[in-house]
Amino acid sequence: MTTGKSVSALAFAGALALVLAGCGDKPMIYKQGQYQGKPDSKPWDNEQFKGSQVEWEKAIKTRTQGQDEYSRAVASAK
Amino acid sequence: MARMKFLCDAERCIECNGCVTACKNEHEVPWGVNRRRVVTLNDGVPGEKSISVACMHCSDAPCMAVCPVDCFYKTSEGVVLHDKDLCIGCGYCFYACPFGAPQFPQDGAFGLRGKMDKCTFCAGGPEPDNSAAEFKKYGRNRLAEGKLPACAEMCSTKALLGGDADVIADIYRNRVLKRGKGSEIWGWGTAYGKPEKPAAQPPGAKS
Repeated sequence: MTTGKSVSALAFAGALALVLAGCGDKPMIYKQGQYQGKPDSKPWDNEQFKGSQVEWEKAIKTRTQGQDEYSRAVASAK
Repeated sequence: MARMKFLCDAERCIECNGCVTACKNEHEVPWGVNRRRVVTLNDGVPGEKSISVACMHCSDAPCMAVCPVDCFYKTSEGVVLHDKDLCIGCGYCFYACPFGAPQFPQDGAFGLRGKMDKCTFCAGGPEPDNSAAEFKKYGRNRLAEGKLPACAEMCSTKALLGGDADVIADIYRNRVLKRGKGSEIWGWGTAYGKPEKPAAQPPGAKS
């Protein structure tokens, strides 16, 4: 009787583990470097910036700061 | 290294659709494709809020994760771009994107879905910079000209900011600190702050 109970308990535990295994889901994490297309050039690799990343970043920073009218107003007041 | 992002200030956006028009005009985007659009919540109700939405150039972009042909790539400036020559127009990216950024041209005799089109942060695509092929497929490459996206630069109230995330976050923070906050207040005072000095009155004018 005891053996029968333990066998059924074992079977139940096994079945439960099997059922719960279906609830598991491996997270899909994107791995960098999977891109299959053509390579792209850097925005500073042209005649205007002559490959200078520093010059390009300076130009972008100036443009970005131009969106701040508080600093623009202070600059124009001086 | 810059990490390019957009930031829209809902307190300032006046739903003028200038950003949408600027984008359409700059890239000659075909009819039916809207790389950028303005979304308004509680339209017509006092206190309504509008924001300009396009590709947010996610740091962990779901479109990149689901693309079966791996046509997406992220530039060193953090701009999410794709190769249209590889795109098969399956639409997975459209379902994955929480902003509805990927667009599909609907023209053609049988309602073809076509290759996906989306905001490029005005950075073109993998074709040679500022070439005719790049313009035809992806639009103008303003970033290679040292300029920011046309939508952000065109925004009349400067609600839409574009550029290096750290810089635009600083601009926005400074703006919020200057103007204060308050859920009951909306309009000009909230967006631009109150003048430090009252407007000058002409002599003899009644106050």
